[in-house]
Amino acid sequence: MAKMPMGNPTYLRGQIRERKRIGSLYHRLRISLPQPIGPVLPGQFAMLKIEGGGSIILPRPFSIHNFEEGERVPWLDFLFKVVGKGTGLLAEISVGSPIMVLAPLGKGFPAPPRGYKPLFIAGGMGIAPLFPLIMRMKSSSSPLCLLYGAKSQGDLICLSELLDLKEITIKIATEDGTAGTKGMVTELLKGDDDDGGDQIVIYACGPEPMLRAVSKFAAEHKKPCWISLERRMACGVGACLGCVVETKRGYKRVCREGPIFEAREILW
Amino acid sequence: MRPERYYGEMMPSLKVKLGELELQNPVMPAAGTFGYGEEYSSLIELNRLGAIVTKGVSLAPQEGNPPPRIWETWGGMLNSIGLHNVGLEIFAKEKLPFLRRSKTPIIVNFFGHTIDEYAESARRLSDLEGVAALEANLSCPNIKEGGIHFGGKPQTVAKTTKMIRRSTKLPIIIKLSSNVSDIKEVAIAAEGEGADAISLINSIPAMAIDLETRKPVLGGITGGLSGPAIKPIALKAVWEVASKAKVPLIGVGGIMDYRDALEFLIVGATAVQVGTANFINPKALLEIIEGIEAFLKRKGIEDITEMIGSLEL
Repeated sequence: MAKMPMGNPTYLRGQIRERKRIGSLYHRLRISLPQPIGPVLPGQFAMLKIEGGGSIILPRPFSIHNFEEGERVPWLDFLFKVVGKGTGLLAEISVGSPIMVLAPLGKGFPAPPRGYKPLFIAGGMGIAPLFPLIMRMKSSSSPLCLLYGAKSQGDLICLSELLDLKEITIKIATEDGTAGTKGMVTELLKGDDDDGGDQIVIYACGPEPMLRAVSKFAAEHKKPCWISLERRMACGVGACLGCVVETKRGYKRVCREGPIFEAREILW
Repeated sequence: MRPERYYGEMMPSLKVKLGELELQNPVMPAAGTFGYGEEYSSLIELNRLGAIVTKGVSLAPQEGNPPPRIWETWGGMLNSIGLHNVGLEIFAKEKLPFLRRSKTPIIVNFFGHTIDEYAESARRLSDLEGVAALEANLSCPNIKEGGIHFGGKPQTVAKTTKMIRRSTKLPIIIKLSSNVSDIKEVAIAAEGEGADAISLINSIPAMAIDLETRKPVLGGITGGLSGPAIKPIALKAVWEVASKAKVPLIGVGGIMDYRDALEFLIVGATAVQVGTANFINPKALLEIIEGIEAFLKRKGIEDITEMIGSLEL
């Protein structure tokens, strides 16, 4: 497996600088840090814990969605959907509130091999860790392509920011047909099959069935493929062994050996 | 009750002894919540801890239970890790050298599937440089053999402790479960066969269900409950055993801050282990040590051992 970079995490008391509601279900948080951390790599995550969570005691893992590129990172953005009690509390947090941040954690996406074109595949919230990767790669010379799928038009989060980028081609699929092609994002792959002799490397994040389908496609077409996995976590630093995923070489920790894995390593 | 006074620059002593083993303070991580130390080393100064307790080690590597392995509950969490570990050989070769760089005593937690395996592990761990003490896990709720099945009956605990005692000169800590009809009897059995200290308690067998799928949320079906939810149970276990046992006790279960830690000392613990709190706050161990020190200063208590067994009835 390619060597993937990883830095030491820092534990800090951050502050909510901005909370933006996107549609009815999504939120974006900007957390400012008392001192800069870093460097941060696209694909890495943070454990977040708010005060006064009552019965909620564990922090929650979130992909780092956006940050200012540089050696020292003064703020982090997170994108999330309200799915349970933890995210419910986070959705109601007020600007100025303190929040405990453990970051950066895990491994980032590796750079594409020389001469390879990146193909991004996002399903719904899966855009979160791919967004900073797209931002980083947009300055490279190779053309970028994103296949973006979601249940409905309203679930295509940050689409307007992505459409503003001239360096990227975006193909959209929605399950209800309210935007782009009607169907699953993986169906867009079929049309992408015939792009000459171009070497592509896939970067994907989204629901597990989507990642399974993308992995299958990558295996069949012999394309290198990196995926970002999500699991329940307790420590986030590799100590508790609570977040393991079954791979060809035994159980691996999503927080430490991941969350970015080579798709062919995973036993789906 | 002592009056709160300012005692100037008084530096209280936090030193405690577990048999022959001297600790600079009574605070250490609970096995399985702190990996092999390296995982937390960039977040917390390992040299400040009373001891480092490793993830449980077995003779052969163990894959552990199928995921999902953790689940949050009301004021606590379930785990079904199943003693996933690298095995004794890799531990010695790859994990121990890092731990040895710290001056903090290393307590190696270990377990077996048979009494012979406990004895063999104890013997082999004793040969390793830099191991200060052994903690035998006779109480894991997550494996089919070994673990809690060894801690359930006083006779088995006596026999296992005796075999471990014969296999090592290092101080032995026996970690027990509260899931027994009389924890005093079990503790006395360990003490009678040469245990130097007793840790109380391990996580408590428990489960959780997903209403939609009607399936257990954990891959291992059942797991162990830990966190603040179990603290009152652990306190009572330590208090009960302290009334009978002469060896020092290590209180474990739901300790989140220095107050919790000191409550365990009051009911009779000499030291404490902090588990789930590490996940919530990676600096928890350090904050507990500093909190204890500040408390002792505030109360004008010069020696932490004054706190041990000071329960007022």
